[in-house]
Amino acid sequence: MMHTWLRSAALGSVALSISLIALMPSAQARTRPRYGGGMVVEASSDRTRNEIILSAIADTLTSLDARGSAVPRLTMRWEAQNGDRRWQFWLRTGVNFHDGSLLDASMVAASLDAAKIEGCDAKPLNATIVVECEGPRPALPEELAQPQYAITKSGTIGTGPFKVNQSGDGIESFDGCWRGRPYLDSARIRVRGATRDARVPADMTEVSGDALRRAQRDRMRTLTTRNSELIAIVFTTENVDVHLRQALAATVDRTAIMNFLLQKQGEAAYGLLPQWLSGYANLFQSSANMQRARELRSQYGAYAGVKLVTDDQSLQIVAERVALDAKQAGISVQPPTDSREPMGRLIRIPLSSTNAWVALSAVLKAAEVPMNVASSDADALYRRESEVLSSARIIPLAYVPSGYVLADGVHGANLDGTGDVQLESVWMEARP
Amino acid sequence: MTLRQRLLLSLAGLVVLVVAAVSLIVWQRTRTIYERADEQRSAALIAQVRSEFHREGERIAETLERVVASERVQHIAAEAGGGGDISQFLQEAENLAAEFNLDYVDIYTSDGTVISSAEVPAKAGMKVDVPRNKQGSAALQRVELVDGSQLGMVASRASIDGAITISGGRRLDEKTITTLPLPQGMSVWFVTDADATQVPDALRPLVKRAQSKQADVRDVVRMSNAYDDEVIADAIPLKDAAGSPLAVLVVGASRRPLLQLQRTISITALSVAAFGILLAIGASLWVAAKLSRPVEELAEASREIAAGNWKARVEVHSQDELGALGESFNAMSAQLTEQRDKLLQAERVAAWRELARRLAHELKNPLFPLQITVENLVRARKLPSQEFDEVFDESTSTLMAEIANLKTIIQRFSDFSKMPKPQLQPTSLNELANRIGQTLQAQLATMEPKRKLTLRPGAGVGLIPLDPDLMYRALTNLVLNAIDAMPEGGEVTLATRDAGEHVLVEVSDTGTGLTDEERERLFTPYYTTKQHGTGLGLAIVQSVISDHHGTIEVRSALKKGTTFVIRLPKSQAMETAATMSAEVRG
Repeated sequence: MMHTWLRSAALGSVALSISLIALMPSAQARTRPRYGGGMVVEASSDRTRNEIILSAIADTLTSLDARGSAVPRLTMRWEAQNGDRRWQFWLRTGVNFHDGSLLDASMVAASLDAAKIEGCDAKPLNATIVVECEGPRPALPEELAQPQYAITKSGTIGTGPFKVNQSGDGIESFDGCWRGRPYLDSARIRVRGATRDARVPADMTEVSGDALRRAQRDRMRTLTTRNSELIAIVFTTENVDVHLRQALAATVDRTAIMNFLLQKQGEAAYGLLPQWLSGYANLFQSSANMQRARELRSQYGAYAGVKLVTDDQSLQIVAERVALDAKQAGISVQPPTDSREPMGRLIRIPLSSTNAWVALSAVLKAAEVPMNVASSDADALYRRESEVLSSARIIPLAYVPSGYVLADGVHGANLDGTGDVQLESVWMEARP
Repeated sequence: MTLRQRLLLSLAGLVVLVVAAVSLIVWQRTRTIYERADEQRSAALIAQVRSEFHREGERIAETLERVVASERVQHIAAEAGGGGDISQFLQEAENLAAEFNLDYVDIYTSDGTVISSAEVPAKAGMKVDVPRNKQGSAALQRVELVDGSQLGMVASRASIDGAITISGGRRLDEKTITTLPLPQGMSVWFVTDADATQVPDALRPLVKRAQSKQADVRDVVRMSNAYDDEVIADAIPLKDAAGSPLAVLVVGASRRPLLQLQRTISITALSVAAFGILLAIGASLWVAAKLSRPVEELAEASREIAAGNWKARVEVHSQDELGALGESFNAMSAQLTEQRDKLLQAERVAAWRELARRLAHELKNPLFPLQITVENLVRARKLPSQEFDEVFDESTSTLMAEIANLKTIIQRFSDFSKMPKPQLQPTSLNELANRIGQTLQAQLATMEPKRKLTLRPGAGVGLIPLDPDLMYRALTNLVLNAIDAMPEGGEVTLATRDAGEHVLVEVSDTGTGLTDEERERLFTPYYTTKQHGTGLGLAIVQSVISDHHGTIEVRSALKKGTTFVIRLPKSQAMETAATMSAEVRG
């Protein structure tokens, strides 16, 4: 009896082992990156599409680490001079453009000039780039990590792992990339709503808000970032009375907007930068104050009306909510009838950097408010942010994340700190 | 106003009065009937609208019952009651609205937090007042939107466990009303805005009155300049459950049929009245021909007779009373003429008798002494020649004087009978008066008691056509008569005066004056108040004056003197033409 039992156990173990061994290559195959294949990425807007393509085909001089500090990319090192007004960057050697030409200082200077760094001029100096600015730019290396300063020739020829294909409707791998060949052979990046090839399902779809929530609820594969987009009302001029702007800011019910209208995807924004970026955002926290709003509105007198517009259909509901809340304080919020009217705009402002100074600068730039901060330390940034929030030139509403729904078979997809897709690490399972 | 005109006005007035009375009665009666019918139609339509509102409210309430009973809502209620995540139901209200064919769906928690709103999705998360009435049919309610508000029929129901409340309803606007079947000539408007821009301009004042009074208002409104574009409009405020007016229902009944009928009546009445007036004119002309013309002719003939045309007669056109009247008039006129002729003849005979009597009397006076003287001569023939000679001489003297007297009487009679026609020539009356004064001055100087002659020549009395000799004699006669009328003495005044188209000559005395009888008979031939004289003097003066186309009149009173006023024309041509015209008419 014992013998029989032992023999059966041994046979069973062997069978099990053989089965496991047979399965091992498949499992290893699924976790092991595979070269080849193509994917379709669906972005929510042209801006996102262009950013995805740009980050795939081009490199910036620097990039940012997790703390938001600049690390070398196309440059090896840099040096600040003259009170951060003059910066010199030493370029990496042996980097080729997609057309085979070598990266040199003149091309970099030309690309930076085309990108128009505000208040700065870039000039080649031997194998370096010298950037001279009107005022101190303490975070210039972090600024240059933003996608708009990616180094390209003619805007479409870069040094990244992908290059624009010949037909111009997608990107394909660049074997000569200094960072190495990507896994994918090709990728098509389309904008949601385009009728062409809409029948082809996307492998990676940008979603936000309720759609992201539903995808998560339905246990679909999703990829989300930290809250990397600020939804805010910006007034690009002082033509709307400051009391009216402040009154409007006091009526906003961010909690309700966040919990209901944005489906809890993100967090209420009281400051211009989120807590994880600035570290002091909680200091601005407050709730809607209708009494204060009415007091401010009464200082304005007569008819209190604000024109508010949004070009983003997904934000229309938020704009309506702002109007409803403002109505309770006697402020009329209406769409403008003439584009020349003084108005506020409800927009999404990407947090384009994990560096607080750079991110704040980008936010202020969206409202055409000058940065006027010579230092990148938190005190200076806090003071500047306080000034802007007090003037209500920018009324932050919420930080929202960006996210993607991934189809089965997509692996290695990553988003950087600002939510941009990194296609170079993506690989696809072989399709049957 | 003539009889013909009065007849015309009376007949025309009668016609117009009758036509107007009939038209007015028909007009009033027609209007009453139409207005009553319009009232009934309006009331029926209003009742129909109210009924439709009520039915719609019931339908909405039933729909809401089904919404609340649905699995989806029960799930929401369970999640809300259990403290679950209600934000996930953001889209549910829209879904329910689409599924149950509602325009408005709001889902609230028990504390008033909006879970979802179909009409204003942005309301999610807001705190509002939860509707209290969660039973009954839908009521009129103003639904607030982002950019304004709408009117709707809204009801509310709570879930079984009371965890959530659902309000739902449908929009109420003009389309709701226009789906109602309307009788011909009726219109309905649904006004939801304060400025009443949803109705024609003409109806806006009525709507505003209804809004301010918060009560039904009725009025007649002219919709355009067309005469028949009027409506009887009822403005009915529609109120919510609390009694606040939210909208105004306007029902209009066109008065076009009534106004067109009234116009037809007016035109017909005017036409009949005009025809009646023409008929009246014709009738009056006919009546005038039959009645008034004879009367007018009679009146005209009477006037002619009164003016002295004794030959005036009327034509007799009929055998009726007017004809009899005409004939009577003619007969009367003929009799009057005959009587006048007889009277004239009698007067003429009487005048001749008087003349003969006076002449016989005048002639007899000198004849008697003649007879006595001849008888004396016959007796004296027997006397001695010396005594005979004395008697003969005295008798012959007496005979000669009386014969001269006879000759004077006869001469004056002859002169009176054949007064010569005046030979007119430009003559100054003032100069004639001066001559008379100079002539009589010597005679007046020797008279006792004293008589004075005062001349008052008038300024501006120029030359006028006169026969200077005849006029001299006439004026002299008057002055001498005036002197004779003052046996106790006195003053005679001879004055001339310019009197426009005439010249006046006045001979006044301060004598004894005349009685009324004397004054009336003064110009009768052979009438005299003097002891001597023929009594022809004033008759001759009157004849001379008459031949000069003048007039003479006397003013006198006893013991106050007498004044003769002679009126002579400055132009004999004018007077001649006037005289000829009078002769022709005569």
